[in-house]
Order: sequence, then C-alpha cells, then structure tokens
Amino acid sequence: MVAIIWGLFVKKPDGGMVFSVVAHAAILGYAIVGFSSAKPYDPYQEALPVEVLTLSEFDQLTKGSNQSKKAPEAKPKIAAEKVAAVDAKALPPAPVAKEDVAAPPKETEAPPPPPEPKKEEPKKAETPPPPPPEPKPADLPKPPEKKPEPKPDNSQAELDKLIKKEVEKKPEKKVEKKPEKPKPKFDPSKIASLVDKRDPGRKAQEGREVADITTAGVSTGQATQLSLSMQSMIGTMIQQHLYSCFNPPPGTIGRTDLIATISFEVTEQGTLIGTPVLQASSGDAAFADSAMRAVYSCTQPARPLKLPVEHYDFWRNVVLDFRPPVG
Amino acid sequence: MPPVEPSMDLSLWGLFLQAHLIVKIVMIGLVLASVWCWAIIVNKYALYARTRRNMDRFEKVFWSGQSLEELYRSLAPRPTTSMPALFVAAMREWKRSFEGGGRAVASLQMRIEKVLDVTIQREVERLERQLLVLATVGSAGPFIGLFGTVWGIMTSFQSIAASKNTSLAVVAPGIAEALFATALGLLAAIPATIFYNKFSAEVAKQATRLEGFADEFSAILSRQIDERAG
Repeated sequence: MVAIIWGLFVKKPDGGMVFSVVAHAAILGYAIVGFSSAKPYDPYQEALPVEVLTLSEFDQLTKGSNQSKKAPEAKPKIAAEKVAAVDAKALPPAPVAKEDVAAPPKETEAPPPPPEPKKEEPKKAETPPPPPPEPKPADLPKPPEKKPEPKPDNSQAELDKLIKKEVEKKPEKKVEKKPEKPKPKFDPSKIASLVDKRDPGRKAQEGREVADITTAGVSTGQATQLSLSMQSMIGTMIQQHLYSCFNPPPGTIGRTDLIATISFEVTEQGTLIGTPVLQASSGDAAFADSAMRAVYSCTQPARPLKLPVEHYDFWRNVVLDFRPPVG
Repeated sequence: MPPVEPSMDLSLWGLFLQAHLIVKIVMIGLVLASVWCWAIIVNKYALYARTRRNMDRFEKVFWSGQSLEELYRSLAPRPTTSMPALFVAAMREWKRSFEGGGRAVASLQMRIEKVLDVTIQREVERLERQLLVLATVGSAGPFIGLFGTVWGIMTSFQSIAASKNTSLAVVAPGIAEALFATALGLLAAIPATIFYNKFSAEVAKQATRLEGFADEFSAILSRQIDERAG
C-alpha cells in the first residue's frame, strides 16, 4: 500500500502515469454509469398457473364455459366455406326466395345449442327467420363468414342452395345425398314446404367430425371437451365396430393405395340418419361400395354403433377412413 | 456494521459505499495498483521500443567503418544508454590507459571487460526497474481481492445472523459487494501478469544483445591492445 502510494504520488508523474490515470478514470466512470441500474431480477414473471387433474377428473370437465375460445381451426374452415358458398350463390336470387335466403344471417349468432335447433327446425320452415337477434330477414343476407357453428341453419341454407343449384351441387358432399325424398319435388317457389317435409329425425349436417373438438361448450353442458384418451377411445370403438362389418372386395387386401372416406350421421342409439356420403375415394368403386355397405350394415337397428351417449355431441357425425386390412 | 437494508443501491458506486471499511481499503488499493501497473506498462513499453531503436541505430553506425575515435567524440559529451553507453565506457577506460604514455597496458584488457560488465549490469537494471511491481501485483492482486471478498462475505454472514433471515435479498448485496473486490483484484492482476511476462522476455533479449556487443567490442579492443603492445 505504501509502496503503491509512493509509486503513484511521490514520484514525479510521467507520461505513462498520466495515461494510466486518465484511462482508469474513464473506465471506472463508464462502469459506474453503465452498471448503475442493475435490472431487478424477477423470477416470478413467467409463472403459469398449473393445475393437476386426474384423467377422470378431466373427463368430467366437459361443461363449456363463457370464456372459452371458438372452435378449433379445422372445422370452421369447412363450415365457413359452405356458408360463404351458400351466400354467394344465394345473393342473386334473393328477391325471389327472400325468407329462405334471409335465414343465414342469423347463423352468425354464436353457440349453437344443438338440441333446441332440432325442435325448432320444423317450425322454422314455415316462419322462416324467427330466431331473435337479427330482426331484418328481408335484407340481403350479409355473408356470415365468421361463425360456422350453427348447424340447423346451415343445413337449411344448404337446402336452399341445393334447390337453386342442384346441378352444380356435386362437390358439396354431405347435403346432396340427404334429401332423397324431397329432391324430386324441389321447386324454388316451394322451398318452405320442402323444408317442412324433411324427415323430423333429420339432424343438422355441420356437426363435429370425429377428430374435431370445440372448446366452446354446448348448452347441454356435456362433452364439449373430451380428454384425448376419451377421444381416441371413441375413435377406436367406431373403427372397430365398422370394420367388423367391412368386407373389402377380394384382391384389395393389403393394398395401401386404397382409401374411402365416408361421413355419416347417427342417432344416439347408433343407427344411421340419412345417407352416408363418400367424401373422398381412391377411385376404386368396388372398394368404396364395400365401405359404404359396411356403414349401412353396422348402423342397422339390429347392429347399432354403441358409444357413450353422454358424448353424443362428439360422435354424432362420423367421418371414417376405410382402408383395406393389412395382409 | 450497518444492517443490510432490503432496498440497496446496487450500482458499483453504491456497492463500494456500502462496503466495510477494510473492503473499501482493499478496493482502493487495488484500483491504485491497477493505475500504477498501467503507468509502468506504458512507460516500459515506450522504453523498450526506444532502446531497441537506439541499439539498431548504433550498431549500424558502429559497423559502418567509421573511426572509433570519431564515434567516441560524437557520443561522449552526452549521457548515453544501452549500447552507446557500453561503447563510451569501454573507450573511456581505453583512453585513460593510454593517457599516461601507454604504461598501463598490461591489464587493460581485464579492466575493459570489467567496465563493460558493470555497464551491462547497470543498463539491465535500468531496463528491469519496476518490473517487480508488475510481478508483485500480478501475483498478489488476486489474493488481495480475495481477502476483500472473504471479509465482505464474513460481514454479510454476520448480517444474516443479525437479521435472522436467510433470504436471498439479505445475502445477495453483501456477496455482490464482496465479489466486487475480487473483480478489482483480477482487473489489476491480469494485465500485470501478462505484461510482466512479455517485458521480462524483452529484457532478457536486450541483455543478450548487449552482452554480445560487449564481447565483440572487447575482442576488437583486445586486438588493438596487442597490436600497440607488440
């Protein structure tokens, strides 16, 4: 210490000392200024609340809540496509079939309570746009792209579309086949009566597909959200049941290039509603037919699709890929 | 010892002000040591560069065939360093020996070598001066810093004991201020060590060069002595 002070101050300062003192003053000054504000370390910022649930507890958590998000992406796209198509096509003839065309706008209202719409449907046909929130049925419908949910209205709209554009209808899968009976009678001027005559047991088309779950919840308070295990269990049950009736044509066994995607709708008892729709096929008509036969035979009242009724919302609409069994 | 308050000034200056007196002294000493070291480093760097240039120039002149008498006359009036100093010292001894009519020639060779040795020693001592400071700071700096750190940690443990609270908020400031002392120690010691190594190698190189010149010059003078004697 003494030596240092002697070296620093007693000796006559020279060039090196001047340089050194200046450099140290500069560096220390920078350090004092630069480090002056140590950022407070806040380790709790990133914490997320985590709750541990058992699987069974999670399965019981099926009631929807107000804050829940909209349905996942996949489904809205399908449904929105359809709605938009309907509107685009419906716009020109709007004046003619005012009431019916007007129906879609109301679809924009959010959470579609499945059961009620069912009851409503027949009534709706006569008094076209009763549902409350949109009081202007006569207006040209503003395309409700956003909310794809509402099933009954969609189907109705699709019916309209069907009626008007029967010919080009091919690409639209689900609906086309369905109204077998009404079809021959279709007449744009009699839409209301046509809708009226639909099979009362008929259900809306735009249901969830097997793989899709919404988090939005349903008014019945059940099965908006299934655990992954539950979903896969239901999926497996459906597949097993339908494959038990599946008799692929000889020679297709083991082929991996064949696929037939069939969508259909079932009642709570597991019987078929309407007609299954071949959504996608690898082109082999015999194979697709055999898959179709499997759907028919495995949804007979004598051989229903037995699934947990409390999750009916989830499996009401089934989309299943049929592939030839391996080996 | 003041109890550790939860809301402390954590800037470097704040850490310094909150430190214990001993730790403060250590920190100040280390900063001064660093200043001194760098002053030495700058000076020595300049000195060695100067010496090297000086030797180069002198060797060029010396081996250019210029008469040694002339060279001596041009160099003698001014104080000289390094190689010129060797030359002037040896020549002075030579001249003195012949001043009295050339009688003191017998052990002239021995005397010249002695003079050259002494001059080399003096020159090397001049080159080496203060390098010891670098060596000392380089080796002792970390220990001094460590001492400050240990002292600071002791006080911070005492404050834990006093406040009966082991939360990080109580421990951390004391440790931060204690580690600051080690940081300063390393800050002073690292350059000191590096430049001490570099400079001692440089000194050794220049000393070798001086010795080589001394040997050559004494050989030349020895030949001259024998020629005159014979």
